[in-house]
Amino acid sequence: MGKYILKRILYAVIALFVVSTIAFFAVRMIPGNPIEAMTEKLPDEIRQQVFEQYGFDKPIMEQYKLFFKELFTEGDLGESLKYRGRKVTDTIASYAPVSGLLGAEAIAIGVISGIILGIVAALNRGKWLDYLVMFIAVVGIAVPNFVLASCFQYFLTIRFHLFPTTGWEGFSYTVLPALALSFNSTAKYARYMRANCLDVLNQDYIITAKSKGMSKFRLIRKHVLKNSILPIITLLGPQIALMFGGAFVIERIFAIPGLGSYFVSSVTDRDYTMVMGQTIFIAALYILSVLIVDILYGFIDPRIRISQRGGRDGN
Amino acid sequence: MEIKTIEELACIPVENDDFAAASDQDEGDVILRPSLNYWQDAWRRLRKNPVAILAIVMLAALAVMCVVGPGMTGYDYDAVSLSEKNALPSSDHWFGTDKMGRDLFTRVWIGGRISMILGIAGAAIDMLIGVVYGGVAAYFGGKTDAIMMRIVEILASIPYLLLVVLVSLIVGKGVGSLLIAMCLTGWCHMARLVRGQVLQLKDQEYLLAAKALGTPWYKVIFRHLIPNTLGVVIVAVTFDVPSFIFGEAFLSYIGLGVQAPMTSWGSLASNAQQTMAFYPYQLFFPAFFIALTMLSFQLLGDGLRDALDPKLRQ
Amino acid sequence: MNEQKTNFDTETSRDDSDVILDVRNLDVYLNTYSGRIHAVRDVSFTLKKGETLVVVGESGCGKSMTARAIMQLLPEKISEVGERSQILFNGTDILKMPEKKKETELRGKYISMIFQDPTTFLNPTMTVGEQIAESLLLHSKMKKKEAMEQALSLLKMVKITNPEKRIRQYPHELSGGMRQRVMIAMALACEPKILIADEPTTALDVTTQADIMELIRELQEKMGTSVILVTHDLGIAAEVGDRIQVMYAGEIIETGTKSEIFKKAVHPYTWALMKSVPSAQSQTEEKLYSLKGTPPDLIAPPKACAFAPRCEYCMGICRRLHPVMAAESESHSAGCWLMHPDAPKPEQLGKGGTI
Repeated sequence: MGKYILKRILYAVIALFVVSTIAFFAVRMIPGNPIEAMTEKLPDEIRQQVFEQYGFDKPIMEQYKLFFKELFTEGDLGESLKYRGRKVTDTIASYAPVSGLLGAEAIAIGVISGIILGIVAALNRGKWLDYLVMFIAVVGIAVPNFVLASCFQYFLTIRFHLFPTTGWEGFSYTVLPALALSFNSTAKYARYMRANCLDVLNQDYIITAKSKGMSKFRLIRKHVLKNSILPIITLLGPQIALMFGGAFVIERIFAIPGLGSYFVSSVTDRDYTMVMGQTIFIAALYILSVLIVDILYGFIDPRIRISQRGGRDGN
Repeated sequence: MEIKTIEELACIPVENDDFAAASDQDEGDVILRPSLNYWQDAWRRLRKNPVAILAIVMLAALAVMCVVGPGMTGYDYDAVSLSEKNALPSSDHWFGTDKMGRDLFTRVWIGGRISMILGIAGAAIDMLIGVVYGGVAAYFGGKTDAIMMRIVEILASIPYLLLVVLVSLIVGKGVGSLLIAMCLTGWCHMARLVRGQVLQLKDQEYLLAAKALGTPWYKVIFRHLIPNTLGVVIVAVTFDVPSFIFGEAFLSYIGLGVQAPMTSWGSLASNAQQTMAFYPYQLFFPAFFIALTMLSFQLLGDGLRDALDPKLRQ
Repeated sequence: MNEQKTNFDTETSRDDSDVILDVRNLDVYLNTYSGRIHAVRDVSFTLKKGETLVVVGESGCGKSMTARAIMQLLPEKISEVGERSQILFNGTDILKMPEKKKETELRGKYISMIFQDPTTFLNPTMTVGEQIAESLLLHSKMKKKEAMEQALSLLKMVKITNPEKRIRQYPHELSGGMRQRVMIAMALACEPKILIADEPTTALDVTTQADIMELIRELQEKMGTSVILVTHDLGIAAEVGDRIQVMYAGEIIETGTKSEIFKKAVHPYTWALMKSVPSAQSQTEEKLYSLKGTPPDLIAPPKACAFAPRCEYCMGICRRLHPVMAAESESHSAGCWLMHPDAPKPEQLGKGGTI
C-alpha cells in the first residue's frame, strides 16, 4: 500500500510538471507573439519596463527556471498581462470560492440523485421505472449542459420568472446553474450505479446471502448497496476538479463570477499569463483530487486494500 | 418418476428388433442451436434491439441531411442578407435566419458536416493511435509495456479540456487544429482498453499455437489480436464520437471553435446563446441536433456493447 | 416421462417417518436466450434423517439445479418449476410456501447450502465473522455480540487456525480451504436439518479436498444433519455416500446404496462413470476410459433413452422408447432397457466389453 501511494504521488508530480511546462511554453509559443502585439504601441522605454516586469527580456530557458522557482518557493504564478499589477494567485483566490460552492452543490445533487436513481433502476430492472431512469440518464449524457442551462434559463426565468436569471447574490441564484451542472453527473452516476448494482446482484455471494434466508430488503441493504456504492467513489475525483474546469460554460451563461467564467474571459482577452496560471491551478486540483480519492478508496474498499497489500496470509 | 418392478417391465409390449444391437446410425451429436460466429451473433442481437436500430436510422438520416441539406434551400451558408435579419422560421427560411440574415437551415447542415466530420475523424484518429499504442504495449509486454503505460497514465491525468484549450491557443483555429488539440490525449483511454483486451487474449492457446508455428509478430497482431479486440474498440469509438462533437461545441463557447463564416453546431449554438431570450429558435435547432446526435451515438453504443459483449453470449 | 405414469406411488415411499425430504416429479425449466431448457426432468427421490445422498453426474446434467430447487434459489426470472412438482420438507410442500416463510422458516434455518467456489460465494466487503454471525442474527434472538462469540466457536468447530484473528479478516485474506471452512461454519450456524453441498471441493486442491470432506462428515455425525452432496467425482461419492444417485440429461438414471452402485450397477452410464475414475488398483498400462460424445441438448430432450447415442450397449428399443425406472432391489433401481427380462446380456451387445 505504501509503495502504491508513493507511486501514485510520483505520477501526480510528474503530470503536474508536464502540464505546467506545456502551459508555460504554450503561452510563449502562441503565434503572432501576443506579448509583442500588446506592447507594440507603447513607447520603447515603458515597453522595456514591461518586459522586465514579466521577465520577457530573459532567454526562454531562464524564464522557465525562474517560473518554476517562483512557483515552488512562493507559490507565485505571476501577474496578469491585461491588468498589470494584478496577481494571478489573488485572482484565483477571489474567484475560486464561487466555483467551489457551485461545484459542491452540483456534486452533492449529482451523486445523491444519481445513486438513488441507479438503485431504483437496478431493482426494477426491465420495468417502466428502469426505462424511465435510463431514459433520463441517456438524455442527461446526450444533452450538453449548455443546452440544458439555456433551456432552464429560457423557461424557468425568462418565461416563468421562477428563478433569478443571472448573477450571484444568494442561494436562489445557485439553484439553476447547479442543476444544469449536475444533470450530466446525475446521469453518469445513475448509469454506473445501475450497472454496479446489477453486477453485484449477479454475484455468487448474493446466492450465499439468499441461502441464509433473509428478506429482499436486508439483502439489498447489507449485501448489495455497500458492494455497489464503493466503486462510485472513484468517479468522485475527476468530478471535483471538473466542477472547476467544466463549469466554464455554465458560469458564463449564468454570469457567475467564478473561476470558469474568468478563465473564458482570460482566453478571449488573450490574458495569457492568467490562462497559464489558472490552467496550472485547475490541473493541480484535478490531479490532486483524483489522487486523494484513489488513495482513500484503497483504504475504504477491503478488496482493493488487500490486493495492494500483496495477497493473503495463512495456509 | 415411477418405479416399476422387473415383472412389470416385462409386460411392456416390445417390437421384433427391439433387443438387437442398434445399428450404428449416428444420431449422436445433433446440434440444435444454430451455430453463429461472433459477428453474426452480434448482428442478430443488435437487430433485435429496436432502440439501437432507431439510433442507426437517426444517424443515417442526420448523415444524409448533412450531405444534401445545404443544397436544399438554394441559399448559401454565408450569404448575408441584411433585410432578413433574425427572421422567424418560415416557408422561405425553414429554420429562420441569424443576426446577419443567413439561412439557418443551410447553416445547420453545413455546421452538421463540420461537427460530424470532427467527431468521426477524431474518433478514428483516437482509435488508430490507441489500437497501435495499446496493442504494441501489450504485445511486447515487460519494460516496453511498463514505460508506455506510464506515459499514458501521466497524459491521462492531465485534465482534457484544459489541454485542448492550451493547444488550440498554439495551433490556432480551424478544423485541423481542433482535431489535433482534441486528439492529443484523447487516445489514452483507447490505448488502455486495447491493452487490457490484448493482455487477456495473449495467453490464450490459439495465439501460443500461432507463435509456435513461427508466425511473425505483425501477423499475430493484425490477424489474431486486432480482430479479437475489435468488439470493444467499436463500442469505445461509438462513445468517442459524441465527445468530440461536445468538445468542439465547448471550444466554440469559449471562442476557440471553428471561425466564421464557417460554422459548426457548437458555434451556432454558442452564437445563439447570447440572444436566446429574443430568438430562442436560433439556439433550438443546433442544440436539438447536437442532442439528437449525441443521443443516437449513445444509444447505438449501448446497443453495440450489449451485442458485442462476449459475456452475454450463451 | 409419459404423462400417465406420473402419479407417484405413495404406498412404497411414504411409509417411513424418518424421511425428511421428499422430492416428487421435479421439473425445472430455464428460459434462456437460445430457448427453453428442460434442465431437470421428472426427478423424484427421498432423503432420510442423518443420511448422506450423493448426486453424481456430468456438468449440465441438472444436479446443481436440483439442489438449488430444494433451496428455492433457482436463477430468478428465467427459471420455472413444473406444476406437478412437489418438494416436501417434513411433509410441507416448500414450493407452495410464501416467499416470506421461505426466508424465515426454511433457508439457512432448516436447509442450508455450501457452494462450489468459496472465493466468489463469500461477500468480499464483509468480515468472516460478520458473515457467520449474520446467519445467527437472522434465525435466533441473539444480539450482535453473542452472535460474534458464537461465530468464533463455529470457526473453532470447523478447525480454522487462529480463529480470533480470522474472525476479523476479509475472505480475500484467507486461503481457499479456509474459505470453504468459513462457508461450512456459516451453513451450519443454525444447525440445519439438511445441508446441501454443491461440489464443495471442486475448486480446492487435492490435499484440502480430503480435509473438507472429512470435516463435513464429522460435523454431520455430530449434528445428525442429512446431507445432499452434489459432485461429478465418483471417488468422493465412494468415500462419503450412504446412497448414490446418478443423473444424466436432467434425469435420475440409477439410484442405490453405495455398495449396490459400486458392485451391482446396471446402467451403462454408471459403468462408464466408474471406468473413468482413476484408481490405485488400475495400475495397468491401460488408458483411462473416457466416454465419447456429449450429453443431449435439453432444449429438445430426447423422447427415447437420452444416453442411447453414447451407449455401447444400445438396442433398438433404446432408440424407440424412453426407459422405465425399474427396481433391482428395494433400494436399487435404474432406468435402462437392459434390465428387461428379454434383453440380451450386455456381453452379447458390447462393443467395448463389459466392466
